[in-house]
Amino acid sequence: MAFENSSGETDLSVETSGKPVAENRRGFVKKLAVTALALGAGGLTVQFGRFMTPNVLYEAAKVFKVGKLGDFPIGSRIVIEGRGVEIVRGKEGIHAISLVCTHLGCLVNPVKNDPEVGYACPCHGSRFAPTGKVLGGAAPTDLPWYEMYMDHMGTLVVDASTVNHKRTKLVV
Amino acid sequence: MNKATYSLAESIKLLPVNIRNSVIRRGGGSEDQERASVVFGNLFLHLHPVRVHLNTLRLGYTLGLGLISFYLLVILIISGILLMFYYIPSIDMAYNSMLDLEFAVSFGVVLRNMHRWAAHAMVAFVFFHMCRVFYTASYKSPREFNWVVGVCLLLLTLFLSFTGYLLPWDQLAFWAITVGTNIVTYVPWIGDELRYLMLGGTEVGQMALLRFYVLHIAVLPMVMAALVGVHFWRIRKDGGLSRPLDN
Repeated sequence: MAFENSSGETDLSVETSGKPVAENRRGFVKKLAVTALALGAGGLTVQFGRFMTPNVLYEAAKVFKVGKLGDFPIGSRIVIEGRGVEIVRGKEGIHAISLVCTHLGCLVNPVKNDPEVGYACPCHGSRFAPTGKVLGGAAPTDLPWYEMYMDHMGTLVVDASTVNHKRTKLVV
Repeated sequence: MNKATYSLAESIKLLPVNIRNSVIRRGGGSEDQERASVVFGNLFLHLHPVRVHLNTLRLGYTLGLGLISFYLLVILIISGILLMFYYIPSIDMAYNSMLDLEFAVSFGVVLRNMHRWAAHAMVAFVFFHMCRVFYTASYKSPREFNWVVGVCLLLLTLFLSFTGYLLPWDQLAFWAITVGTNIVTYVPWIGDELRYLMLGGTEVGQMALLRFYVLHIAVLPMVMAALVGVHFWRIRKDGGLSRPLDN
């Protein structure tokens, strides 16, 4: 007997033990080849993605020393250049706030002559309160605070890889 | 020369003609055939049809915007290759090599400005070309596929502009790419991974500069060249330049 295969051609069926089999040999080989190709292409894409993803970064460390406590007098706001962090010391403690705008990553400018506004972004006009809370503009979230501690030598260290969600100040 | 035997003097005398004939490979046929073979016998001209409709030759229908875009691409490729002789894609050298091109290299300032202005113009003219195609309804059947190829070419043009923007490595470049790659993080689910892949890290640094450079000078131009070929070929296959029907 004859039947049509997937490509519409009429093939003679291969008969084994008197019954026609569901799939002819060419159809099987074709499916096998397509499956192998798909697996190969998929694997290649995944491995290419792995290759393009660096395993080692030569970037500045996320944990860094900012200086001695004496460098930050009470009431001071000091920007750590190149780190995108400002160290703010008040009467009740000291904290590190990120200066990277949560909108698109520009550096915000500290605002010093306005009690309401602490930071303003030059790129798209976002404004933040001195605590980092969004006041207006395009920024979707508040400026995060980073974990901060004093090491055994008495040097202040900022850990920019860990966000201080509770916004607790380091009491010194 | 069909004759199997000829003298040395003869063969030397015929050498220029033989070389010319082997290159041009023409001859015979009517005058029309002769003229047609000039076009389809040449690799560079054969993209163009041998016979064109009268309306195709009227500038007012297309304003030549597609070809202007293409010629701008040619200017960009030539000036870009020349810039590559002096530009060093390293964060310590990039800005200085750009300044060298501006102030120290002979004709460097001309080349750099040609590259820069041609890039701006290409974005504009590709957009104008798209408008023309849209307003003359030339995207309609049978040209839908070529419209899609054209959209890909527009995106490639924009992406080439974006990757080229980082290369001077000045403040403008740095913050533009910082903002641009942060926009990528808003892609659902894979945004952060996509930015990491684009920058080769978490900040705009040496890896980012190198990645953008390779994309700008190798990967994207090759894709561009291939798609431009497809775009031109499809114009022929879809019935030539879009034009009003015969009146």
